Amino acid sequence: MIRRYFGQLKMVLFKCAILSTALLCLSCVTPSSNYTTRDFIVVETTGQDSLESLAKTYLHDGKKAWLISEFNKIKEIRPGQRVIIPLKPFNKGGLTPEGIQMVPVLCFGLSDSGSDQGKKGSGCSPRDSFTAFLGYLKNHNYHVISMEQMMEFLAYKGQVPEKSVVITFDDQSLAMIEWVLPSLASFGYPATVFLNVRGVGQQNSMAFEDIRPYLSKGIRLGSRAGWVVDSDIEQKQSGIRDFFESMEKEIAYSKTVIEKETGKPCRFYAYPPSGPYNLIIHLLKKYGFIGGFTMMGESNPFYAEHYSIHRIHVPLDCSTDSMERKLLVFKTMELR
Amino acid sequence: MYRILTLYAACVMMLVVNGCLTLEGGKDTPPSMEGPNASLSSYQQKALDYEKDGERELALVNWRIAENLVARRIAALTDHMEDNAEKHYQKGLSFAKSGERLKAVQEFLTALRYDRNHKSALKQIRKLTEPSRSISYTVREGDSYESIAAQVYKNPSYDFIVRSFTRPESKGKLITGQTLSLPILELEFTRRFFNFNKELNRARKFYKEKDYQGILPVAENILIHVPENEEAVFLINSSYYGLAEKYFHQENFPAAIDMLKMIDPRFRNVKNRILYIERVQADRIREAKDSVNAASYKKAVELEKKKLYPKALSAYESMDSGYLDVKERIVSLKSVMRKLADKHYLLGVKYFSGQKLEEAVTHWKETLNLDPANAKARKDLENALQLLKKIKEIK
Repeated sequence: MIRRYFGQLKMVLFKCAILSTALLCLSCVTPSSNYTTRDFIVVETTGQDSLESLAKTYLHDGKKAWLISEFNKIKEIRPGQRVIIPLKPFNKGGLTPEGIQMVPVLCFGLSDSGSDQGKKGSGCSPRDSFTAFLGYLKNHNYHVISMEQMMEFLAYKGQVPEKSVVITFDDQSLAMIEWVLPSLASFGYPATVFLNVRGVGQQNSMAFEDIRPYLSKGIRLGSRAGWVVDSDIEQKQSGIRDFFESMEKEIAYSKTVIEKETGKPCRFYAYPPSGPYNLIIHLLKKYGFIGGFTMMGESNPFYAEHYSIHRIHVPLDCSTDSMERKLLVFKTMELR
Repeated sequence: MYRILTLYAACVMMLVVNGCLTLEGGKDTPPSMEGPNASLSSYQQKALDYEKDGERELALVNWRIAENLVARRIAALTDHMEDNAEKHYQKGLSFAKSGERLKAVQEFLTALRYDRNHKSALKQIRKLTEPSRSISYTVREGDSYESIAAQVYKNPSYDFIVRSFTRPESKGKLITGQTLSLPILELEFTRRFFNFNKELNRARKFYKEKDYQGILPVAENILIHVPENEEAVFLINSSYYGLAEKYFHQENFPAAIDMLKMIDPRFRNVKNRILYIERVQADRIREAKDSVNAASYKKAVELEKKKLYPKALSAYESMDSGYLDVKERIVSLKSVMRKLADKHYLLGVKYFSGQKLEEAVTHWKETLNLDPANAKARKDLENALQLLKKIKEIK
């Protein structure tokens, strides 16, 4: 009985051994189309593959198609092509032997562009200009990145596309709701709008309920509190103590209101035109802001200070030439 | 046979590759790929050919050789990258040391390009590119918000800044040893709040009231915002002079001299005034000494009269030896004390011989009081005390 039992067991074990060997041989001998290491996956593409589909399959995010495109230096996929998919950022900081990546943070000026009717005789409205600019970005392969991606880049943690730009606004006029945010949404571009919360919902200004639908479409709110306090210094002849107390109050208030109204953290601040003074930077840190934006008119390398991120003012004057000049995404520098 | 020989040759080749192959290349350029690359492809091709012919063993050997070449190539490139990163990092450090900031940043960026995880290079880049925005202040015993503001900002009325940036966990209290990170106030920032006329009038008011201590911070602040302002310079120098005179009248001569030394020589020549104060200071020191000597002399004479000789002697000895007849008095007093000591010693001997031990002890103690160096009296006193002890024990 026992001998019979052992005989059956031997048979089962023998069958298992044959089966596992066959599986092993299949996996080893048959040339595999995909090959995986810790940092990369090598894929042999099929007719159904695209950069987006590969990014979705292997990086779990179709928007990361640029990572595959930039690593392989290809713009599209051909069937039967061997494509390397980087599983980690391969160029944090955007450093190359020829120089360094720069990220322009654009600040669109609606108020200085006049009404939607356009300049007299130009036949071009700010709205047309803005839409044209968004189209320009898309047609010239610029990537509009979110503020979170920008901060990852500045922290030397994440990689962003080679031609990245960030879009911001220091504006809360009705034009934002009427055509700016809808245009951005139609292009799928994220942006950050810096608000003076004291004016939100007032005459000719958008309200929080107008903005809420766009929060799920990549729109984030930041604060530009205390600009009035700052501009009044000379006129009111206020002392440092008055200024400091008012600024602290405004910064804290704006953060509380924005967070309450949006349910999202408010972590970015746009400095008044007078600049990023140390006293204000310390206040921002105290209240949990992680980034401060100036209007210094320059692009930013990865080592830009988080509390002094430069922005470039973009008037909507219908000239794409001037826009092109502002989009500095690379700084030549010998790094070899 | 042929198959075994081929396998043997391949194994020998593998050993050669393992042991002897070196990759060329200097430190600045990657090692050349031509040689190893050519070998690599030939071994890969051979391996494929052997596989085709069903010579799996030979194919395997050739694949292993190719694998080995790849591993070596990876190691050589990794070393090359790390060497370059370190070389550029060191270059960056020396540029940073010599103050060539841009060149230093460029070198650190290059180091980071060669080694993406070069934390020190990254740290140096941030250090060189981020402006200094804070002052660290460690709270000391007795500090207040005002005193810290006075030290950090030279203005105690900026206490609100210190208060605001005290760490939340300290609940608004200053804790000794706690480090505060306070904002540096840029000149262009404070200038926005500076009202020249108002500040000058404040300084003038202080001057009128002779509040020299009050003038100094106000006039110094004016000079920060309006350098070379003549009235502020005048007010500062006048304050130093006024404070020097105030200290002089309080007979705080060192403080007075310190204030005079702060005065700009173009404002007033105070050399003679300093010399005068130093002379007065020396006179005062001498007068003080004389008065101390006179009091001590008087006290010593009184003690001598009361025949409290040891106390009188120590009073004379505490004085300046050159004062009046102190020297002579000490000599004469010591002679008197020696004679008196001898007298007491002999009395002690007399009582000891008459077996009056207690009286003998009293006289020898007096001898030692007058002449502590008298060895005979000390020895005899010890003997007498021991005898007394033994007698008490027998009783």
